[in-house]
Amino acid sequence: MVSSGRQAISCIVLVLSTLILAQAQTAPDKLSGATITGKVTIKGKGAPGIAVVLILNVEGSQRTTRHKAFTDDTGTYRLTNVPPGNYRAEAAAPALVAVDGFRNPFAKSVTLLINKDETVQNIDFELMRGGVITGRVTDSDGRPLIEEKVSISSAESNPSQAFSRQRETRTDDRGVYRIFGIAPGNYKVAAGTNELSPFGGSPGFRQTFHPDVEDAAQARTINVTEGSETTNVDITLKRVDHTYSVRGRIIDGDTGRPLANVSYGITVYITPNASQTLSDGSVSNNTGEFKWENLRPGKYAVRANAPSDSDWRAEEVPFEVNDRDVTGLVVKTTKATTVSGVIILDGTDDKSVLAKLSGGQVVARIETEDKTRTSTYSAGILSDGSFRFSGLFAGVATFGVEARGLELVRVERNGVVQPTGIPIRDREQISGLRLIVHYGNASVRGVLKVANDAPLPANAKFFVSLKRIGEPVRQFDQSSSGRSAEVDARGQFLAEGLLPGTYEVTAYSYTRDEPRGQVLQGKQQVTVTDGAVVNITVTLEPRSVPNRPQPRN
Amino acid sequence: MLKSLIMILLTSLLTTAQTQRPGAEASKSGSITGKVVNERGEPLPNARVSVQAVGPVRSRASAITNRDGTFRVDGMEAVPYHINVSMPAYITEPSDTEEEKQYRVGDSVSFILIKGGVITGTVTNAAGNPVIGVHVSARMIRDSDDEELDGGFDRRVNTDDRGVYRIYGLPAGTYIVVAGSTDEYSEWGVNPFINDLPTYAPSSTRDTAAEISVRAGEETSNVDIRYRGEQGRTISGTVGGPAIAGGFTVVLTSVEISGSQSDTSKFEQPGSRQFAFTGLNEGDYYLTLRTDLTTNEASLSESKLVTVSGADVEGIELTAKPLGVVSGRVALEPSKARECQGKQPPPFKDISVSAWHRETEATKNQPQFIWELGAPVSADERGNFSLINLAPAQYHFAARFPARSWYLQSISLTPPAPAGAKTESKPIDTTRVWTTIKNGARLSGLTVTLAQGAASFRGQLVFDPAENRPVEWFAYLVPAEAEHANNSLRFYGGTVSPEGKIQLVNLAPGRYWVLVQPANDDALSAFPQFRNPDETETRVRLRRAAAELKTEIELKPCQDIGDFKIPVKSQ
Repeated sequence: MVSSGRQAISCIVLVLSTLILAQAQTAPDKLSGATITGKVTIKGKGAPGIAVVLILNVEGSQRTTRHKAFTDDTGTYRLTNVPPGNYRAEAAAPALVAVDGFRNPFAKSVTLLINKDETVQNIDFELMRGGVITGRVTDSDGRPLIEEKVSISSAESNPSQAFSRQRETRTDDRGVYRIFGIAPGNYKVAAGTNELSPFGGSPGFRQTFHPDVEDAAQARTINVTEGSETTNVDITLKRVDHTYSVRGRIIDGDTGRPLANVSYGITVYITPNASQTLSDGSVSNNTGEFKWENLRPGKYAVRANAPSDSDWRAEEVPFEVNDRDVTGLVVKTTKATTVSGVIILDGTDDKSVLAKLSGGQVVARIETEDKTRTSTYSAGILSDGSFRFSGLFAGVATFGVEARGLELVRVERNGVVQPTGIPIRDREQISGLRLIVHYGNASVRGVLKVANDAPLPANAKFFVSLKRIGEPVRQFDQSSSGRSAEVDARGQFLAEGLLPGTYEVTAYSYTRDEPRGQVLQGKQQVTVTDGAVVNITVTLEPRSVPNRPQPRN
Repeated sequence: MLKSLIMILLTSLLTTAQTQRPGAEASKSGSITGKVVNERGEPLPNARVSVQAVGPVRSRASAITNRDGTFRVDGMEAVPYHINVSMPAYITEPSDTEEEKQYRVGDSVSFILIKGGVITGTVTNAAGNPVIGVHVSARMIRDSDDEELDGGFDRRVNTDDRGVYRIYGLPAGTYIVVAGSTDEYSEWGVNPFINDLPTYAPSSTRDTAAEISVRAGEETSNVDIRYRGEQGRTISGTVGGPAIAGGFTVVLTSVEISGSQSDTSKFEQPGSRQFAFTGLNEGDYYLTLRTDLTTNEASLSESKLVTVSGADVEGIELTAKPLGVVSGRVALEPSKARECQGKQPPPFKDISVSAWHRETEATKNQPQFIWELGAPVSADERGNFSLINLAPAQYHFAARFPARSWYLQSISLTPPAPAGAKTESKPIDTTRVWTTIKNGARLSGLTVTLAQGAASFRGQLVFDPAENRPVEWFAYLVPAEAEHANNSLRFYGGTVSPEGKIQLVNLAPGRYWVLVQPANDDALSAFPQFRNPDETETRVRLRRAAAELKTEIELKPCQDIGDFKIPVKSQ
């Protein structure tokens, strides 16, 4: 049996390889490439068997590489044959958490700019065992609720920590859930959800916190410590007894005629500040009627979804469900304001640069005349460089272009440069805008140093920003309003896709121990030409600033 | 493959009579009520019931069963509905009919949900420590009738911090359990087990994996896995060619010893020129580069065969080349026959044109997915169509249309006139001559001609009651006129129903011989092929067999022939 199988394989291989010749080379076991080593420790002791994986950052996207190493008995890992590049090294250990989440609160990882054939040492990870919270979710009859959402959220007041520490899971067929790898701290546990269910209506159970309270303020706080396991964190969910429907019509606000086949959606206000909108593909019928079922009491709004190429828009119509069905809502459409134009790429006719345009987007920021309200819209750039916004509010519009390596330098309307934004009236149709962009391919590669060659402070976050000197007053543009560059574990940074010019590079740091302001700052000027890579060193010096600026993320 | 071809032929030859239920007055609204119970008849609370109107009306509602297993949806328009009842960890009772049942307002309905099976166990490493956060899948390899499955039911979970996994809601059948996945990320960040080869329970490769029998409602525990954590091989390389800038997909096709193929696709973002597949077993793989299909016209590279043995494979270069395009139009030839007056032609947008590659000539040793890129297309309002993304090969063409009194007259291709020529080139009959399509070819001038005057034929096989007869039969109409002897469009065929009935439609008027054959191996190989340009011999054979029987029939324009008795003699 085995031998005949083997024969069959070799036959196939022979036939195939004579038909198609793959120009494949098998990699020799070469010794070139960089080496990265370090230690993973738990309570100062080397942790064996932990995978450290390299993730490559390419043009803003991340992808894993085949570079993976396990720590040995002493907790030491060694990644070899690493080509130069911009990487992230991550200790991939689901049950462990970083001891100090300050430098990178989201993951047990560091960024690393790797040069050709270098040896990088002491890229260490200090981890600890996270906590466990487990329990069971049942209905009021004690039946297990299966695949019910369970979430834990930080009970701390620090909002950034609250976000990064949110975790969720689902119960199994016994109603049991188990969340592990939880960073030490205080948590609240909730089961169920107040969002709309993907089936359309309100979910069958109200969100309830342990121990069986609907008000988050009354939830019991669970203290998670290193390696702790808190069991029997059970939650009983109450059924939603009555649900109601909402009905109404979508009409043309100018003619009063019903609009058929208009897609609509519903927004639920989960809290006064948090809402969720769901469109399930439903469309209005021949008489413009819409309908939504299974809503429990609460605050909602209905909206008509204007397709991106339509010439109308409609404001959401809010409503409240109390103890009966809601009927007679009217959604009125109005003629939409549209703005269209084309992106003009200046200074290059490189096809690969042109290709970066499609897939990118144009962003419009509109501020009302009285400056009380600002809305941001985005529109995709089509392969011919054109873009179109529909349904904009009235106000003054400024624009930005979000496409890799491309920077908006001016906006033209009817051949006239618009330096301060374009006023847009309600229902106005503006076409023929020209957004002129430049392509930047210069780079600044730098390293941060502390005066007197002292080591960079541990537990500090570093930020680098670049600003082109002599830059004209500019439209709103995310890519040019001060660029930031990520600083790696060794104090290195790389800013790519820069237009030629002179930049002021500013570096500063924060530490957790010194929350009042930045403790180190450095500035440096650098001039780059087209396509050049310039290396610089920025020296940081102690500086105390009373008014601390908010760091950019 | 064979089955799907037969299906396509059948649907093109038989009218698809839509059963429309009459009398859907949308004036009144009402309720649908019902009850959901488990396999022991006990009420099942908390089951999700979703009610969706049949057809384009998107009217729908959902409910959750009460403590007593009952549910009620109100305010439903009086149209037919489909009802779907589900509950996690439970499975619906297998149904005998494929057709989804329809319900009406006022109905009181009941459903049974059965608790699915459970597989649970612990994953540990060689040192006996728990393997945490690894993906574990239960894959059904045989169903409850012991039928082998390819790509059957598959459910995946993660192990917890104790290495414990629990997979529930499994339909009855035989499963294998595997730990490890090539996913880049898991719930906790980067997947620690990326690039590993999968480990099958208890601690083996696929060929020696333990088979686990699962019955509904039962729990199989201690399906433990000793995780091997062996690094798989990597194939990597670079890509080039047009339209790569908008992102690209590399398809890795692994070839099993049985000849069956499985594809793994990886999309790379715009800007990238590199690809890598990790965690691979040693063996043979095809690599094919494909550009984004959403941009309408895609490009494709030649497929490269790579043998992974003893080392990673680097430096594979794939270059995309544009695929072929054949455009053309649908021409309509009305009939003057009195019987045909007032019969509507099919709307152009309902006419679908497809291209079929010559399997005998196409390089056998290449991924099969490339033939699916050139999907059937519909004509536009003016009858123009464009078949895109055709991989280099020889092709013939087919058309489908929903109009009973029209038939497919011809499919011809007018090649471009040579430079300086005064007259147009002569059209080529594509039903007789294969059309060669090369990379980047853009052929125009394909004309699909539909003529009015099609007849239809309903026949009944009459068996000698004494005879022991095969169950399945094919029936053909074979052209009796000598001039159509090798006109493949004048050959019609279909499968005979178990009651001995056959219906053929969209038939060109003319004289035919009726032929029935038991669906034996010979007939099965001939049946889906009888319109293939290469199958002159098949048509000659069918015509010779039909000529001997001499059951002749003449079809007049727009004639409907019903209840034609076809005596079946012993074979």
